[in-house]
Amino acid sequence: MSPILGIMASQGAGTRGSSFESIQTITVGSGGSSAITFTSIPQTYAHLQLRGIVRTNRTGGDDTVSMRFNSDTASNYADHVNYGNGATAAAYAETTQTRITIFGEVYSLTQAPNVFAPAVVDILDYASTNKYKTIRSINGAEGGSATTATSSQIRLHSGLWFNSTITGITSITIFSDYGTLVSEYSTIALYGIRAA
Amino acid sequence: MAQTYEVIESKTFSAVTSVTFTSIPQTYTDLVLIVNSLAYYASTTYLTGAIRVGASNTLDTASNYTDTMSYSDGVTGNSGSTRSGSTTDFRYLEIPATPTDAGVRGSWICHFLNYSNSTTYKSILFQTSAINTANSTISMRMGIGSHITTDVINTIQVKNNDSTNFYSSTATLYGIKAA
Repeated sequence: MSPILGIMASQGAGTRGSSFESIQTITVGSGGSSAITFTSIPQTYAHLQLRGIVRTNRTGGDDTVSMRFNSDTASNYADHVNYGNGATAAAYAETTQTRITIFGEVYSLTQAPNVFAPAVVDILDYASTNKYKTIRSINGAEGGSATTATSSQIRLHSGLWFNSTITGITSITIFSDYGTLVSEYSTIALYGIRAA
Repeated sequence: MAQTYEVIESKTFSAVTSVTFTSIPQTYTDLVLIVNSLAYYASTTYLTGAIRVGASNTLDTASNYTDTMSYSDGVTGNSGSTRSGSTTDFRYLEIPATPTDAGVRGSWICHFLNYSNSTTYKSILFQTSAINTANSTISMRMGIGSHITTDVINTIQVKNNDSTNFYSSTATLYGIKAA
């Protein structure tokens, strides 16, 4: 099977040896961290996949966690979101954003301390020098009796980075949108997926 | 380069209501479970699939599971979301059902993130797709579950919660090893 999309590629990668490779893993230590940043990403893969769990230090309500590419803080991002919160399913879009949200529901510190939000994020054709970059993230939060039904969410995000100067993605910065720190024990692994 | 994405075990199963992976190595970062399933049943087009996990080769049968699911039925464009809390398994997966083997199979892709740490509750992200030849009421789903303990996971059970047997089904468990 030719690896095309991250999750599907993952299904076949086990028999292909080196087609799905670990690039780097970052685990946040004691005291938290303002961001999780992957730098010097090799341009030798077809696609990237991020897999991980996060929590932040926001106290005033639930949080979201987003990412930027190549330190681009301009309004060069957009995303679409489809989600269900246990009661209803809904969708929305965001244009001209300064980041792409990849963890759309992250519990605040007031909720159960052991609950971390998971995500699997595919970044397609990330090394292209002639195409805007697209991503897909399946993510959510579910925490048991300490959470209300409507703060439990399953989410599917698509995102676009449309910087007019098209370059390959060489760095990824992941950060809390409303808190100041990504919390201890948060961990994100970056993988590269090779094409034949 | 060392293998990062490895097959741990594959199972092919029929005439049983469940199948269980035990003694899952704790040496990976994440697990991915791929299930291709069918049940023989004449009275409905789908049955309820579920997943139960455990540590020390013992399944956790207590009310330590919560999950939230969003779905679309693909026929009328109906969509919705539902949640269950404090249940005894993750229960929003779906198994297509036919009176005979018509070639129909439903697919599950389930991600178990950081399954071997002893600090956090364990999360599962899943996507399922089930459709029959009449394109009727079964659906595609995405969901999230949380196992409300800090136990590691070394046992995973794939279940048919309607107590009907699986037929000609497969389940493969992969391990993903981060650097």
